[in-house]
Amino acid sequence: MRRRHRRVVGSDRLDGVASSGRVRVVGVAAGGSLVHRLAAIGLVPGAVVTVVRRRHPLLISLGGASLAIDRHTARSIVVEAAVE
Amino acid sequence: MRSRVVPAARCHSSPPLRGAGDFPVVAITGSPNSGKTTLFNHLAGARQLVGNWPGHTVERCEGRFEVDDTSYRLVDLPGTFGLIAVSADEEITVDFLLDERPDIVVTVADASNLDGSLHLVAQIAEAGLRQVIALNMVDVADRRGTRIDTDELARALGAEVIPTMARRGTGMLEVRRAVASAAGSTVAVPVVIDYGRSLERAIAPLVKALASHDGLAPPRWLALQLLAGDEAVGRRVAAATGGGRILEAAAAARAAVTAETGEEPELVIAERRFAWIRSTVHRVSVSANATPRWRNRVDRVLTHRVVGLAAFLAIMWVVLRFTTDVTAPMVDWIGAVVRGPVSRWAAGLIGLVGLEGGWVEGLVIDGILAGVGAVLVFVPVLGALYLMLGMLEDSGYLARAATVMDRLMRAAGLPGKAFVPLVIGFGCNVPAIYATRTLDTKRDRLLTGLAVPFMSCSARLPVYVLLAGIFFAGNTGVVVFSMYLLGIVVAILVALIVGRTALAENDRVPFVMVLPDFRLPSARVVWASARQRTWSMVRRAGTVILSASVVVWLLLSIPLGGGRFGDTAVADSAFGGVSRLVSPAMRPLGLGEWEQSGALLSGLIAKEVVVSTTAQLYGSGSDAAGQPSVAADSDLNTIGGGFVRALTATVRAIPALFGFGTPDPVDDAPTDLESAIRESFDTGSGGHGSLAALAFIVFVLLYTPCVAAAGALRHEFGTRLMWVSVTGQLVVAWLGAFVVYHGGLLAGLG
Repeated sequence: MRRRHRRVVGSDRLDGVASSGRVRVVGVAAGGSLVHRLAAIGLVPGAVVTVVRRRHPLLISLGGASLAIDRHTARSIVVEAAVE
Repeated sequence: MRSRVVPAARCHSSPPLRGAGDFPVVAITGSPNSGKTTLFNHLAGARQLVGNWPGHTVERCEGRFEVDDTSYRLVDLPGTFGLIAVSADEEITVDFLLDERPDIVVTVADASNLDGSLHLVAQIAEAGLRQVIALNMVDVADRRGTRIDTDELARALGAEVIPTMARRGTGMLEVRRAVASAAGSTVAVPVVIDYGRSLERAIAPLVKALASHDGLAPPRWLALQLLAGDEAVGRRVAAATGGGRILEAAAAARAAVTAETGEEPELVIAERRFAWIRSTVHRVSVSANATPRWRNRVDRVLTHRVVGLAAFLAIMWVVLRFTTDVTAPMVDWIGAVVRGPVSRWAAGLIGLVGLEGGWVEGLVIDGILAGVGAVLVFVPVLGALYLMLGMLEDSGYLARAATVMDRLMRAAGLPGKAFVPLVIGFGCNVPAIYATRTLDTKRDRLLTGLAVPFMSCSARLPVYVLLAGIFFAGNTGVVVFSMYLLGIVVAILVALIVGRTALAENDRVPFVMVLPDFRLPSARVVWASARQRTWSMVRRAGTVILSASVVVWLLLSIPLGGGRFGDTAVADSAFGGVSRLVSPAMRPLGLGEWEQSGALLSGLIAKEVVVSTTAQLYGSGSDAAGQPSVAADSDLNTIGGGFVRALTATVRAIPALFGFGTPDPVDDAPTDLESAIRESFDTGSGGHGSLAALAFIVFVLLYTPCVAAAGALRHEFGTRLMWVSVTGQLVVAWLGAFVVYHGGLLAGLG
């Protein structure tokens, strides 16, 4: 199930970020149990993540945690470059 | 309580608490990998399995502790990241918290990942449950330069915060005291988070409507869960009067929030909740808390799709070499002790009471000692396997392995997470079947449950080691490794075929895995889990295998033709008769001897029984009882001197694992048992003994693991599916052995 997500200028999907580095989650284009899962671990709008590896399987750090995500799931996470 | 919750008696060591109803109930939960199970063990003083992968605590364990003469009942709940359950074991936690409303919840939070841990803590606080927060791994946080103001954190969360180091047992007394003082206080004031204009507008009318449901949980929290689409809360609200109307109102409110924000209400809620958490964490802690750089580097390698896979195979190889080659001298030593001194002493004792030569001697020597002894011989093998599995679990590696395997698993139609129950299956299929509860969907659970029995459990190992030792001496490691691989391949094929036909589904299951911190496996934790698992295997030797040995011996002693009880040729016994009935079906596999069918038949009770039955079938007549008694100092030499020699050989075999040095050459002459087995396999296959042995091993790998595993399948998936699974396993095993045997013949092997 696909849902609308907030349109953000310059936004991108997590699987397509140009380089490893920090990005901010601005939306999640998914539904059902994936949303439950992402919400529980904090991969939600507002979260700032560091992309450690862009290729499958993606590695990211979020707070003090490391996550591994498959490319398909990463595609449903909308991000923008994080400006500190 | 839901029927899915396994009764406390299942938890190996903590006793079921009879008459514990009056004590205050303390539930312990936390995010996966927060050290929750270790903390539980310290609080309850119980010894229980500790794992390092998400959702490991599948079974429900209970304990008890006292503070100032008051007893508290402690319930260990599966770890969860939040209060909306996705997997079956998270459901256990949420159901318990909702329905039982424990008096106190001890929530374990990981101080080194405060943002992530506080999500569950915040939700429990919002749900108005009285809480004590165990801020665990403060030492790790400290090393990374994080300072946390626990008093300030306690104020923000409305609960006492106790810094702990569960691995060292630090802070346990304080947690107990905090539980006692929280139990003494009267009310828990729910934490209130501001969810923003659009959501608060949706919450307000729902709270009003839910005011009469106050007994279930605070109305504001119920409203939030309904808006988030929590089905568990939805069902409970619907069950109460006027619940239907409230659910309709909630659905309308959800739609309104989505229309206004362009986002799922659950995401909006999580966004605001995490924003609250971040601001709280910012206020209470000073942190340089980035993931250490070395860890990212190591993770890059270990989860790399090529290098990571190679590393995974290399690690598995070392594990299997360790469990087979390094322990071999110990196996020989125990075998020598059981066959020699122990059997002689038993025969001597029986002689003392004047029963020598009768059926009592037969029962003790040929039945019990031959059967149970043959399995006890492999205790070092199992102990080594459990030590290795424990180290992999406790180090945090298994989550990386699951990540590496995700792509392969997905190609098989299984989610990457299914890898964890499959690996547990290497130890024992029974907990592996229960561990499928950590998976997200019913379909995933069922598919994995059908695949698990093909994973080569530790009880099959003795059969491989015994036969490979006879027919493929020097290459035991290779044979065993191939069996493990073959098991994996068949499991994947089964999942693939069933997943594409009977359980076809189009939706892709997402893979999101939290990789726990690497840590040096704690010797205590690993040792405790290996000891407990090995001990439960030894206990099985004392119960299941003992009974099976006696039953087999009885069947062997009952004459079908002439002769009298206890003094009949094996071929004329009842066991021989039953085995001969089955035997024709096994002839196409090169297993024409009825003894082979008999051994396999008894293996339906438990796989390790195959070894004990084999020993009984081929061993009787050539056992130690008939030998002249040997001087006691020779016995002592076998036991003491043999142990020292075995220990030396074990230590010397370790470098060989990594390709350094050479292990001791196999120098022992074949025993009578080994010669008898070789002869029988040669006869049964018309001279292709080695191929027949391979077919036999493959059959053992693939057919029904044991009655206990069948019972677990029935418990989790129902009687019908159990029979489907058991029948399927027999068919697959027969076909597998057939292919191996005839393939080998065609290729001109053996």
